[in-house]
Formats: sequence, C-alpha cells, structure tokens
Amino acid sequence: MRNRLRVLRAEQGWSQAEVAQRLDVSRQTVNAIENGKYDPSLPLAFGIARLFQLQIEEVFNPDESEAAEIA
Amino acid sequence: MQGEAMTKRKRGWNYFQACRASLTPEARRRQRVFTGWCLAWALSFVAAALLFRFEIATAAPLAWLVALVPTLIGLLLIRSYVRLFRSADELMQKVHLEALAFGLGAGFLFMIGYSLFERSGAPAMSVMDPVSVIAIAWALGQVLAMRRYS
Repeated sequence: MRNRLRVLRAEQGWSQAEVAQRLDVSRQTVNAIENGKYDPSLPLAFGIARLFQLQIEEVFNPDESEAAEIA
Repeated sequence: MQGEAMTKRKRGWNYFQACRASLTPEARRRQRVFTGWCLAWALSFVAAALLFRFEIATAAPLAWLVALVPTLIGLLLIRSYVRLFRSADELMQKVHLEALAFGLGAGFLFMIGYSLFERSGAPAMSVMDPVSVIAIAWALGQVLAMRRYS
C-alpha cells in the first residue's frame, strides 16, 4: 500500500509527533506508515484521511501488485 | 576508530529513541507501572527463594505465605501487562504480539526438542529452563519487531 502521508504532513508543516498526537498514536507508527513499513488499520486510515480532510483513496492507494490482485 | 565508536553510539541512541517513540503518553505511563511490577515480582521471588534456601520458612503457614506473595505479585504483573497492551497503539500491539509469538514458539520448541536430548543422556531440564528461554526469546522478539518497523 502506498500513501501520501509524508507529503500531506509537509504541506501542513506538521511534525510526525504532532500528527501522532492528533491521531492518538505513537510517533513510531506515523514514521512506519510514512516509510511503507506498516499498513494502518481501516479506522486509523480513515482517521488520517479525516485529519487532512480528504477521501481515504486520496491518501492511500494500492501499489501495482496489490491493484493487479484486486482486479 | 573514534568515528566508528561515534557511529555505534549514534546507532544505539537512535534505537533507544525509536523505543521511546513507539509509546503514546498513556502507554508510557503503563510501561512504567509494568516495569515497577516486574521489579517487585523479581525482588519477591529472590526473597522467597532465599527464605527457602536458608530454611527460614520451613513451617507450613509461613512457607505457604512466602510462596503466595510472589504469585500474587505475579498476577498483578500480568494485569499491568494486559493494561499496557491495551493502552498501546496498533503498531505497538503488533510488535508485542510478534514478540509473544516468538517467545512462546521458542519455549514450546525448546521443551519438545530438549526432551529428545534428555533421552539421549543430556541433563534433566528444570522448570526454570523453558521459562528462561521464553523470556529471552520474548525480549529478542521485541527487538526484532521494533527493528522491522523502525
């Protein structure tokens, strides 16, 4: 799963710690999601999208292999 | 040489920071409580073992009481761990689960595997041996899982 969390966070000028605090998760979780090492749960993914006032698919989208599996 | 030492120190420091960053403020508070109960349990266990070793607690009521104290503290320790687990965020819960799976798997394999060595003439296993393997493997599992998601 790919995501635009790092870009969106930079646009807002927020640090990882600030995003973590707003989402009630640890900074490590934000870092792991940004680096693609961890895919968040559905509630957290919706929480991230809501934080940036976007639709979930504007933040997260499957990478090519996952997209092929879905198709 | 000095540069290498600096790099090693930096790596260690970074890992320590990663551990600190993996907990929410609530989970950090629970972690402190859990660490406190770990220390209390370890101290009570050592104290009980010494009382039995030096045959201070031999009579039935006192001996039962000495054995009961670490057990009760152990129950409180388990409760504090469950609370820590529940207060952790989803990534930390995943790290804990992976570490528990690693620890329990290693302990199970050790118990089953060592029974074959016992039949081959290896010294008999004590009750504490699998417990030690589980504890060490659990700690190692935590480090591996933390590294994986850092």
